[in-house]
Amino acid sequence: MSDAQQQELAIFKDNSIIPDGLLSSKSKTLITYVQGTSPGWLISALVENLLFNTFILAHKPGTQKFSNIKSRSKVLLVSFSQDYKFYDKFFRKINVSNSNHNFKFLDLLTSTMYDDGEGDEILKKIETTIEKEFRNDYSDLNVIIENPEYLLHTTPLTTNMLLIFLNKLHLNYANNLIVISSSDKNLLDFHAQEESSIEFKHTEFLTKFLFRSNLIMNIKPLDTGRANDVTGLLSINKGLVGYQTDEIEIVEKEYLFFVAKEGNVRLFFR
Amino acid sequence: MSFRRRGDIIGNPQQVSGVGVNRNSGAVPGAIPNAVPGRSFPNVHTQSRPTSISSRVPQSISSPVALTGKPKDTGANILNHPGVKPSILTSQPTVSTGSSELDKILGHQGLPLGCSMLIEENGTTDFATVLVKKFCSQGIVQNRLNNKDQNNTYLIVVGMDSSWGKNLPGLYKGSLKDQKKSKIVEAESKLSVSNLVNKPLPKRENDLKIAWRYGHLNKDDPEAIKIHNSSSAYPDYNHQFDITSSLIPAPHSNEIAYVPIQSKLTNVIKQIDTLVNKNNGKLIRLIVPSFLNPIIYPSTISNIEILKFIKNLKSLTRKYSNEIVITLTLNLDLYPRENPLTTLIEKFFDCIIELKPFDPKLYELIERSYSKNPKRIKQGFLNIYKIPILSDLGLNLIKEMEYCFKNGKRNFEIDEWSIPVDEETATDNNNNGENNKLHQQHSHSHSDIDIGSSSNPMQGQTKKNVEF
Repeated sequence: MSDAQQQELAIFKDNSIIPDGLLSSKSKTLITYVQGTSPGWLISALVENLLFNTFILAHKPGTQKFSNIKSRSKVLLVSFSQDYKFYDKFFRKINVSNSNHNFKFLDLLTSTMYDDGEGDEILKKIETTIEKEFRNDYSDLNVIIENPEYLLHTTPLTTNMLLIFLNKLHLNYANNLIVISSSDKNLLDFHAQEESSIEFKHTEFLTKFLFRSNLIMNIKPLDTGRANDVTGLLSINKGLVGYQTDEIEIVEKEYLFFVAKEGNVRLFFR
Repeated sequence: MSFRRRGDIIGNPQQVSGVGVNRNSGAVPGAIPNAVPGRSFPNVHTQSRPTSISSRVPQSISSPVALTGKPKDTGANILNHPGVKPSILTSQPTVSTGSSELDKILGHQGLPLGCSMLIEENGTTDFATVLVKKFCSQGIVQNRLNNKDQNNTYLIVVGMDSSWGKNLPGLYKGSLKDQKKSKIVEAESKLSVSNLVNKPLPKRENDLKIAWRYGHLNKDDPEAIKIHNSSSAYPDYNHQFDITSSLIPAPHSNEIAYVPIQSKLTNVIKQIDTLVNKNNGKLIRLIVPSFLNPIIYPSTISNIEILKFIKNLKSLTRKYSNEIVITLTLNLDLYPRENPLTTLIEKFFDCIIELKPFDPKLYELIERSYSKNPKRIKQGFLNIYKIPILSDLGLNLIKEMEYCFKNGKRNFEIDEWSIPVDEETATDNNNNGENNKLHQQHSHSHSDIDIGSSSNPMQGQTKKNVEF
């Protein structure tokens, strides 16, 4: 595919990914993915956009001087599935590291190896980190949590407890709460009866969070199978909750995307 | 093509260098200095490991907010390990799985350090164990390359006892013919009167008689041997194993540890963590064979505990990202891929392959189709669901029914899958087609003759007459 076909990612009506207006208001976003389309590139794109209001699909070394750009908000990225080393290669391109005072990464994969509790102490770590790292200045804080549902499957934590915590986090600390969760069809069963089963907990969590979301994004492979020039499909949908102001409006659309071996991404209108 | 003058002395090094084959520079035909295509290492003509790898391997990064218990950086030690080389895709230090063909389809020419591999298998076969045992043997063989005091690899096997380690495949010593040849060579190399009397001409002279221009290396010349060996910069990266033989001597307790399954899987993780810490600086190959097999694992283990164990295995790979590789096998008859537990287990692995033996009917068809070429007969599909590092980057590398495998005595063959064509049926069809054509021509040629033959009582006679 030629460069001429390349499109920019735009989620809102003003052709932005995260508009300025959204940074000062409360919103929840749900991003779902399935096996074959890992969301690492999308998460790093959102971090970049929240910090610098940019999203360079194919980073060319030396073309962008991110060190000169003042970040427009603060971001905490919490991951239950990846460590910092994984994201470091994305963030190096935009000159962001954990030492940056506007960005912090909380690794809840390796730091929770021997936590034998009920799961709530792990959630407490998120609050503690926010309070420690951002020092009571949460006015423009955005929190991205990757795979919080793993807590439901690796600890006795219930879905409602997790949702209550996320709500609390959203109300007390984060303006924008972005949750990334897997939605493989084997994990979803809307007729599941047994409360302790994996599919029940997973479906319950996704459904309940979906009903509280303002924006829903999904990435999945093509239905027609694997292709050499297309990795998958990115769909953008309005959530079941509207935004506080009418100025912010989501444009529902679908993109085809292609992730190259270097991690660069190309988007194409569908 | 170049020619020498008649008076020139063959083998004069000064003149040879002028003809284009400069032995001193290491530019020997066939001796390709780089094992990694497209990448050049300085000083590869010597046996020493390339010095430039460390500059291309990702260095340790600033610690994240809650990264606890981070071990000290052992990356430099690991790069000197004979079984580690940079990935051809990402330059990350990579180890062999013990099967060169599996290494090839993983893209990196092996499994990058700090990665885990899940081998799923359908049916009652146990090909996964063959792969896992080769994975172990590879570690043991590399460990024995150095002196006994300088161990470089340590194996940790979860859920098995020491009898499991006694059946690891040994190194492949060549075919029977090769083995006989090597015995003869060994006998000839011994110092005896008969050997001295019947000493043959040096092989190089024979070679020069045949093709002096492309004369081979002088085997007695240590410099030449050095150059020859440099054809592979990583000669001990992987080995070939014979699954009908056993690794002798069996792994010793300072090479392998067996961690029994306990009622609490967290304790297993703690034990592994302790062993890894204890063997700091060594390459750790952690093996979890037959995961969740009811003979080994108690049925009382809850899903939460299973997933926590798997999650902690991933944590170990990240915690010791420069030291450890993990391989786990799972039988899909017990836990099919549609099972949500299996789906979640897969989430925590960097690499997933599935071994799916052929359906008996398909196997029959393949046997029939390749009856004249039995080497092409394979045993099952090899599906790939995740490739280390690349899948996490977001690349969709799911390949179902694109590869097939065959477990042979000396290697685990992996080929691209192609639908077999039943040669007999095809031949029959062709023959039928030709017969039909012939029949049509025949009937057509007779049609003129046979006109009205039905009413002719002398039909047979007429035909005979025509034929005669």
